[in-house]
Amino acid sequence: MIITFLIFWPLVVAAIIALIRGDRPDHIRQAALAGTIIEFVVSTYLLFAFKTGAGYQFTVRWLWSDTLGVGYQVGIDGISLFLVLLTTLLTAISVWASFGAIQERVKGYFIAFLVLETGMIGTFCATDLFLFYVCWELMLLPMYFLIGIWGGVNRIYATYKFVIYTITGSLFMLVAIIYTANIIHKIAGVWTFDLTVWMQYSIPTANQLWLFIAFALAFAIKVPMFPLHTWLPDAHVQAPTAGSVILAGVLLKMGTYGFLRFAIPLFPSAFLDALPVILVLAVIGIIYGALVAMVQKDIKSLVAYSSVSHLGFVMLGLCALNTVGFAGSLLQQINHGISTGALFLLVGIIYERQHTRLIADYGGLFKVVPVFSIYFMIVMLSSIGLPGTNGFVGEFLILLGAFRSHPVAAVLGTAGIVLAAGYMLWMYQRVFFGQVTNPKNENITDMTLRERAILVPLVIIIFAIGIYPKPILERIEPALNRVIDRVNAVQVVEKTKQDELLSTRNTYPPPAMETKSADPETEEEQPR
Amino acid sequence: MNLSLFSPQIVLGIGGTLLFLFEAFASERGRSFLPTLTLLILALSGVLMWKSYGEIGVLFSGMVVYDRFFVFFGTLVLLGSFLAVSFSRPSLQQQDAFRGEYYALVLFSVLGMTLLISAANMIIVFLGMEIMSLPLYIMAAMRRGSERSVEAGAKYFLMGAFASGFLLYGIALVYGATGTLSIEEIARVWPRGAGFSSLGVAGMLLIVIGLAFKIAAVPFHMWEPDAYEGAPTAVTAFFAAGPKIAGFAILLRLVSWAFSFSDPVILRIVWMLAALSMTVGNFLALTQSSVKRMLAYSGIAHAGYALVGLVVGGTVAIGLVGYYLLGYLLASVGAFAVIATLEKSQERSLSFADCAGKGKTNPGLTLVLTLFLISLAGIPPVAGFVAKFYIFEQALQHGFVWLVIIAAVNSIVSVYYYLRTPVYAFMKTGEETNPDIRISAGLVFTLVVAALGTIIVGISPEYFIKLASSSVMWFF
Amino acid sequence: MSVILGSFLVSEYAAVAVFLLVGTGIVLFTFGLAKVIRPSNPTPIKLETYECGETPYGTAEIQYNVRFYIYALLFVIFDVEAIFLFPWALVYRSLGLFAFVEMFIFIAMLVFGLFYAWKKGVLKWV
Repeated sequence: MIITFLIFWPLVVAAIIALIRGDRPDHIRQAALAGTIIEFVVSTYLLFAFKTGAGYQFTVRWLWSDTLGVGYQVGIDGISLFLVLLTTLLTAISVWASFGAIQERVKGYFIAFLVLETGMIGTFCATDLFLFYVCWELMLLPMYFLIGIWGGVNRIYATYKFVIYTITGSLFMLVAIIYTANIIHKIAGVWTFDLTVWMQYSIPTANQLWLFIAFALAFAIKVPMFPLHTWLPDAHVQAPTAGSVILAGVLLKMGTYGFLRFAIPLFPSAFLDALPVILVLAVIGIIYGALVAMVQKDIKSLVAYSSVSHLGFVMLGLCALNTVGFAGSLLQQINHGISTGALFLLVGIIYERQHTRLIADYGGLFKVVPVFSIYFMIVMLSSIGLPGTNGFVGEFLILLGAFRSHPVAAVLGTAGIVLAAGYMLWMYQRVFFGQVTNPKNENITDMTLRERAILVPLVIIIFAIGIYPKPILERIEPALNRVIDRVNAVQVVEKTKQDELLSTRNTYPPPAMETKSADPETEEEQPR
Repeated sequence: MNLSLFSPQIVLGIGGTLLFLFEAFASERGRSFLPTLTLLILALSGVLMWKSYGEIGVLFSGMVVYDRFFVFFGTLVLLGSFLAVSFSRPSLQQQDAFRGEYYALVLFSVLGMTLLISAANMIIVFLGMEIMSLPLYIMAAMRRGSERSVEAGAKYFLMGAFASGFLLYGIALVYGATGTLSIEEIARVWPRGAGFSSLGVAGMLLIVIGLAFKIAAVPFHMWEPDAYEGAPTAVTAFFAAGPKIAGFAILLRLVSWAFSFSDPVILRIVWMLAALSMTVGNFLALTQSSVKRMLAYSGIAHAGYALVGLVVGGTVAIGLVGYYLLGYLLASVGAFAVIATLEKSQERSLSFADCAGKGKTNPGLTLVLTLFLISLAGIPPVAGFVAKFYIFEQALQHGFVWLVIIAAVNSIVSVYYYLRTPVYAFMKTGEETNPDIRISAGLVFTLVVAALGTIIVGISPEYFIKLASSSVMWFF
Repeated sequence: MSVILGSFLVSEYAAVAVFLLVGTGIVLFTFGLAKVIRPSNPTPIKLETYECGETPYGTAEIQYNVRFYIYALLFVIFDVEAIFLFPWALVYRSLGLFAFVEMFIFIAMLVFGLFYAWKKGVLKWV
């Protein structure tokens, strides 16, 4: 029930806001903030009630259309738990952060934001592929309006690019989802889009590759992986600050989450086939993103390109195919949400004051706005991956995992860290150190109380994860191990050249007894 | 013979005749009641249609049939016409096209549609088609002063006559091959699973082509954009709601009842019609600058998507075509209603640039327009998406992978042009001169019903799909 | 050759083809014959359009008054009515009351149409 609340509560708040008169923007803002904070507080309950290692929890199952096996089925496991928490936290923060920046059409803005939250939570919690797709697309529309209406000068171009890229990927994914359901129907004899049912069977190897490609295309666009990343800088730079925060903090995670949740466990052998390509693209992404970030003149696009690099790390961790790499990858997703989200917030804060984001327009800010500079430095260091901050733990685990399976790629990936230190520090030096070169910057007010309040939780989390990541890691590990087991099962069999044996064994549903004995969590995965 | 089963058509016929007389003799004040009277007659016909739901009756010695199929598609047509008429008066007045005859013509055209849907004999197919089409030609040319409108009427008429020729020729050939005009008899003679004489196949092909004109499937679509754009917008809404659905209905009835799609040539041709309609419709829609014309081309594309269901065949897929058309009808009538309201000049139709800034001046209207366009684009969770999803599912289940891939690529393309209107409305600023946008009660009714319908049909699809598939059940 | 011809002749369309050929042939033959045997002596007056003895003026391509068309349409209505009434009258006895009601409805429809046309001023020649 709690997940159903989390999914629909933002819609309720949006409906309430729709009833508030448009000429009372303050009431609208307060209602939105209160709604998202309640959402966050409720979601923290998940953290305490979560039973480590126990498959999908808090499940709800309600069949929507029985002839086609489409249902409202939600649940949370170790993979999605922290992503949901990240979503609720970042949404509340973004809503608060947009109090100052959004002065026009306030009502529409917050409604769009709340609908977006519904879509995001739904995407992370859905265990039914149909529901997943619906929520996946549901995120598109509010984002489209957020960028298109409240965005920068070039927003319409950015909007189109964002929408067309996303739709292109997702429609192929839709075709693949239906096709997979069709295959499951042939094997199991029931029409269902239930992920837990799908996982009990294995898709014939011959079909896996193109299905994987269709899924991976959608996710790779969202991540974004190297050749498909071009929508990201445009969308980020044009989006309003809060939009960028959500885009970088949550929406990009949808891609990597999709790989972890759907593409890899459903099509393990295809993933193994495609692994070299993904690995190469991930490494290219790391280095290319870092190099391009280095030459950016605009702080926001610098941060945007750094996202490409960071998400390359996340993909590298997935390619490692061991617990350490996977854990690092998932942790890095959360870290990236926190750090990059905070960076966008900080860029937004300074942009609100000076209406420019060009590095060249700044210089010597440390003397003018010391508090802002210190916040910026902490967040930046976390983004670089300084030991003691969250970024370090994530990147370290990823590289550790990757060294075991793909040493060359790991070494190349390490170059990305060095480059990250380069572009971030260089930017920091040009913006904050030295003399105040631009006379306009002499009288900037420092961060207000509201702005500090927004950033304090993020900074606390940065250090908390950096110093003591164990609570997170131990909760996500069992879920990740299940994914890895699925892939390894294929790998082992392939190595021993027993492909035929596997396909005959897996084409038919394994006996229920065997499933239970092999996986004690199966009982938990069933709806209550 | 139970004449009460034919009462929906009788009501429409008498209503149409009486409205013509009323229009001629009534005062100016009396004429303002015409839309209300029309709505009453349409509603009465709908009530009578549902009164005997579940029964099956063959009337007039096998000429006309009353069955669930008739009720389902007849309801779609009546609903579409109802919505299109309900907002028509202010819109027609604004475009200087308010003539009392319009309402009588609507009733006659709907009479033709219901006759077409209930046809059990090829003669009635032709008769229904003509009764439906002739008023449409006049309606298209309703704005007598406008060259475009007259052009629309003339083009529609010529192409319609052409299509009638095809249809009649096809009926003649099928008669030659089977020796009967009764659809039931043809179904008995027509072999299931094997080919038929080339004469019969040629006849079937010609009939399919004749109907393809009516539903505007590529390459028989040329009339549609001009007719849609030239006609007064309220009339365009009626065009989108009525004839297309009636054309699809009779196509479904003929294909699934009379002809089994056993012959691979025919199957391949309808496959091509579907693929071409989707592709050509969508790509031409991309280049339009007028919203109305864009929707006209999108109508062609939607005919293509619905044809995918026809290609797949079977109770579920054919039923899904009905469901798809329901979603299309609600969204497109709603969209045309908004366009009719936003249009300001009489001669030039609404362009994208005209929409700029409307999101600020008319937030309500543009928001529902966005909802309709989202449904047409097939973005969840509204009706258009669910319909598309189910059609894709059926097609994949029966192995039409390429058709689905073509459809998916087309959906991607379509998102671009559907989102153009919201982009202009919400994201660009236009001049604030907005002389008089009148929101009549009828318009509110149309928009509310269409918007709620789009959402409800999308959120709880089960009931509507069952209704649609049960309507085609007995053909198989 | 003979096989093709043979199969052609037995087919039912042979009669149609023969009819077509003979029909065309007779027309061509008579016109050709007339051309051969008649004297040819054209004068300008002979080439003029015949118009009841009057000297023609203007071109033949003129716009007719639109009322002619409306009258033509009205004529068609009554024309069709007459065509339908004759067979009805012939079998009236055997059909009885049903036929009477049916024809009453039919004529009532036409009368309504006439009323409409009348009220709209179609019958006035201004």
